[in-house]
Amino acid sequence: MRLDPVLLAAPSGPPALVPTRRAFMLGGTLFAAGLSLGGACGYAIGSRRTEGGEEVEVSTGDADLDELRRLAVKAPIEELVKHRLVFVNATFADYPKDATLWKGIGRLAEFVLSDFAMDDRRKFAAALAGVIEQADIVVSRDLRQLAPKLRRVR
Amino acid sequence: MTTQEGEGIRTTGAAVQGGTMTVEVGPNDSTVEVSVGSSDRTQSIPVPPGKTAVIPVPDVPAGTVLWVSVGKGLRRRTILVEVIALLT
Repeated sequence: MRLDPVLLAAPSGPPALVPTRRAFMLGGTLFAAGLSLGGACGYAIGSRRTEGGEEVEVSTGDADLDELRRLAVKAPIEELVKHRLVFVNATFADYPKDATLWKGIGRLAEFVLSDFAMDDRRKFAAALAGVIEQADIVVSRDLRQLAPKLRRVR
Repeated sequence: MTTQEGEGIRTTGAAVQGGTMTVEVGPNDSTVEVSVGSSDRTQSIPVPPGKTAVIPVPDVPAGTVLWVSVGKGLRRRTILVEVIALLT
């Protein structure tokens, strides 16, 4: 009987638990890319909310405009109603294209339509309808539908 | 016709189409602005300080509400005046 020598390969060991240098570099690159992308997206979303949203915190440098914007979107409706004549007059006369102020006009219009006990309700509703109808179409587009309803207030 | 007034401005609550309206202003205001609700359609009428201004009613349909004001910005005082048709 003849015995031939056989070479047996030794079983390979368990995979290395310590990351290789290449894996470390890949992970680091992906982390940096994610951080950059996330930061850019977060900044863009935050900027958009500040432009037309209800979280107007950034000063414009114009104290009157800042106060009118606060009245428009942050002040309680009672405060906005109290100052309604100055607010509406300043909006169409001084800042006719400020989208934030037109949100305040919208709040006033909704209030006039729902509150039957408001002082001088009919006259103010007619005046507000006139302001909305003559406004720039871009800023007043969402409010145009309210003008006929305001005209019908008695 | 009722009189309508705010701080520093007073006039009647309604104005007759084609007529005039009398606006009393305070001593520090030299102009009265009359608007139909748009910056493009605003008239600025000079008035002697502390005096009474007689302002022609703009040529607008009856039922139009005018924004009559003195001052600027948040210091503006505004009253609303409705234009009514004269019955004949």
